Amino acid sequence: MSIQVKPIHRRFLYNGITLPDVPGLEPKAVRDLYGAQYPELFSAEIEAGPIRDGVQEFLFRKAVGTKGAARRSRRMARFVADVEAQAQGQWPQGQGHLAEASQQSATERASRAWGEFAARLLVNRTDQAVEPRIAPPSDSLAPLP
Amino acid sequence: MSAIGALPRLSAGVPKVVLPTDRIRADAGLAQYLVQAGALTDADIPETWNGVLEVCARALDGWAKHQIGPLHCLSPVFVLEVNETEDLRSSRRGQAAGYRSAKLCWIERQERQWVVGPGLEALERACAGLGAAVLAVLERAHLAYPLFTPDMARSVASYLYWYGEDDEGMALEEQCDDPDEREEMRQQMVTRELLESAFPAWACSFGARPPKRPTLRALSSKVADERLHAIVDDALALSRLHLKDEFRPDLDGEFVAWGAVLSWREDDVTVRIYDDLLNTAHQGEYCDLIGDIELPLDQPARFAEWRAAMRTRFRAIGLIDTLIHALSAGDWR
Repeated sequence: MSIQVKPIHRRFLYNGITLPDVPGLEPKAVRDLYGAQYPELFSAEIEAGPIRDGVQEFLFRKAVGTKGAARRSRRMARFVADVEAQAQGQWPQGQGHLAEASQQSATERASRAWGEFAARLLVNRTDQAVEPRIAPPSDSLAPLP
Repeated sequence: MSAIGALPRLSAGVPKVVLPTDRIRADAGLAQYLVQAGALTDADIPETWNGVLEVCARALDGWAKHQIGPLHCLSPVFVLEVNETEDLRSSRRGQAAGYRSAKLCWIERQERQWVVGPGLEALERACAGLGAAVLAVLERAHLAYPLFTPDMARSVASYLYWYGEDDEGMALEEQCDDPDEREEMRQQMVTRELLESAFPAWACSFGARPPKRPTLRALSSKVADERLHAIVDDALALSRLHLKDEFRPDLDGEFVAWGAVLSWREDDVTVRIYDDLLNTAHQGEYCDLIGDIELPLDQPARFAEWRAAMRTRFRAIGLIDTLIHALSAGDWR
């Protein structure tokens, strides 16, 4: 019978976010490191979870919560949910069909043609000498010889 | 009904930007990476948002500005760039849509000339060796924000015009056949004499290494003037920062990411040498910038480490800016 040594991976969770592990640091030191970004972490409690499938979760729990902070946390959770949904291919409401259409080859061709048309139009406009739109009054012109 | 009221309007439901599905998914993957790296805090998330990357960019911008503090002279820009064309093309070949890595570098938005000579000379007048010591601190801070100093101008002049020598002698020998031609060329080029007349010897060292100077800390006690004392305090704070050499570019090309040009007088030779260097650099295929770090997007810890490592550099950038501002502003006569 052989003994296998398996490393335990640590996962640090705070406010619905997984913070990357910093190898070589104790959980408290990891919390303090991230405290530079989330100052409220300095007073957070550390809850160590059981080891499951070689992974141990550490939860940083804020010591005192406030009403405003809870509202902000909901906002972060909503943002994280939106990011994850988009990463999995769920597009923002109403944009799905437009986004898919923009990837059709016919749309790409039409878009390229419009782009070239606009670019040429702009180049021609800048090439042309601009005619003065306001003529000076005759009394400010130099007298004829 | 007014004419303006009759104009057609787009419904609020029409998105301002339409992105291809691959791009939305890849952008979300990048945002996910930044969230996992701890780059966003609760306070960074607005009530509503159009694009997730826009939220991330604003959060990172706010974080960098907060860390650096107010700036008078420098305007650093931090660029997180993905290989959009290549990564999304490969995703169309059957792989999952997403960026594989991002490149991070930082540059100065608008490098400018700052005349620091009179300020440094005032320090030198107050206490011999003090101007040189403050300038040396600014030169050593190149790991945080490289500055084009008089001594750098000397080094670049040697490389650009003098075939790596200490003066123009060999370059003139190589390029001109007769003495008249040589003299004519000497009149037109940047010569050692021109450099020596532009800067004091303690600011631009030719040949032998300068004698060992007293430390800034030892000199600081001899300064009574409040304005000069503030400069020395900032220089001391900058010299105490421990800047590591971890974000140095590989130097595949010419280095062009200078934060500022420190000249002695308004019309001295520094800017001419700097312009020639940049012209030469841009003729090459590749130019090096500050940072230039590759971030694999499956390792958010790398970005967190970068943010932690940048804290000292941000402090250094703030102090460099304060020093340049103090040395270049006001009447030093």
